[in-house]
Amino acid sequence: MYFPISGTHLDPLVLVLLGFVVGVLGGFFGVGGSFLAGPALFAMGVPFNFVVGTDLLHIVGKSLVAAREHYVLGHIDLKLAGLMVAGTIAGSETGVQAIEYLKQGAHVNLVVGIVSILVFALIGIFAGFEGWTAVQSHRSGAQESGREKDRVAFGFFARAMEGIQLPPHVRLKQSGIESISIWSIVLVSMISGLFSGFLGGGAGYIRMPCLVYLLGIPTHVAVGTDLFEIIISAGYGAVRHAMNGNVDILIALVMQTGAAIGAQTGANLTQYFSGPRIRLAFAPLPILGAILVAQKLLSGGGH
Amino acid sequence: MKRFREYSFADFLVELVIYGLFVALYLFFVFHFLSDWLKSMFSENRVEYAVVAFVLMFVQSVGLERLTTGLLFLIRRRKR
Repeated sequence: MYFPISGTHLDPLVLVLLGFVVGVLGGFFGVGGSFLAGPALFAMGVPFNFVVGTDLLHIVGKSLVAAREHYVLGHIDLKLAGLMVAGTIAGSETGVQAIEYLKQGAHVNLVVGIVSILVFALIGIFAGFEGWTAVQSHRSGAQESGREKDRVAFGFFARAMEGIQLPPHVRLKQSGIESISIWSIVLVSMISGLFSGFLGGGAGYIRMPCLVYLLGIPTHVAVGTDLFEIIISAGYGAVRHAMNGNVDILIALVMQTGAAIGAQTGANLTQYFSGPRIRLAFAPLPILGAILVAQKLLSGGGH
Repeated sequence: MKRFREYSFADFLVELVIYGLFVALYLFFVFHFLSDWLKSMFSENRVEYAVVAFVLMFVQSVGLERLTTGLLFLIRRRKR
């Protein structure tokens, strides 16, 4: 089928299937799936500028559906999400500006590629190690309930963040946190926003682990709240890219039809898995992203 | 939580088939009626295009979310 805006010929069934897979990942892990959808669209022949913008718009649509499912399940901390919005946008803009600065040199793709590989690989290794340790600890433990079931192996990070005494403090009832400095939340949202602007996509691959390990948010709530935040960061990026002519709305609409039912499926699947198991299953995703970026760099995409 | 545990793989396949039919029909109309209009807007007014693209994605997302929720509800009701 011909898509006149980007001038490409694509199989709509493959687009729907790609959307479905990315939708399941998004609903289950709370990630936008740009690390998978982006390279796949590029491999199908979509020009790179359209890949970035179209993927962002599709992520907005998919995240809307998945976030709605998580909201129904009580997995979104609206207070936390609201506090993160400003930091996410500020971080995202900083990331975009960093890209513009790097564009003045000749190796922007190489720099962004190497940073991506390092970040993705570190997150994947850390999440895999932590998830495995937490699953083992859960197995050897007695009957547990509530937050104990979602035990994080390296809880000292979150305890250190909760220990920051810089006022003002807020209570996050939905996440079970009695008191935390707003500045900790702003810092985490800025970090994830920075990666969103710098590496593209919704940056769920870094926000979800940050929410769990740095702020101590229960995994299920982190997944839902992350999706809400992705709507903000990806929405902002999508509108900007559309204004610059980098969005093929027809491709995004076709992909989103698959993503809608995939997101619902993924969100419902989270109920069958404990927090540590979700985090353990999440670990291969950033590593897959690192491999895809490395493959692109090695095949000459870095120039 | 219990309502989703009643949802089997067979239910998922039924939902997928009905959903697929709706979506195929919907996409046919989108490409038939909106394709040229969106293409000319993309060429002539990018700001307008950006707003329309965002609104279209929002409306489709909400619409499909309602459709999947409605189908889930109907499948569950049929099983009772």
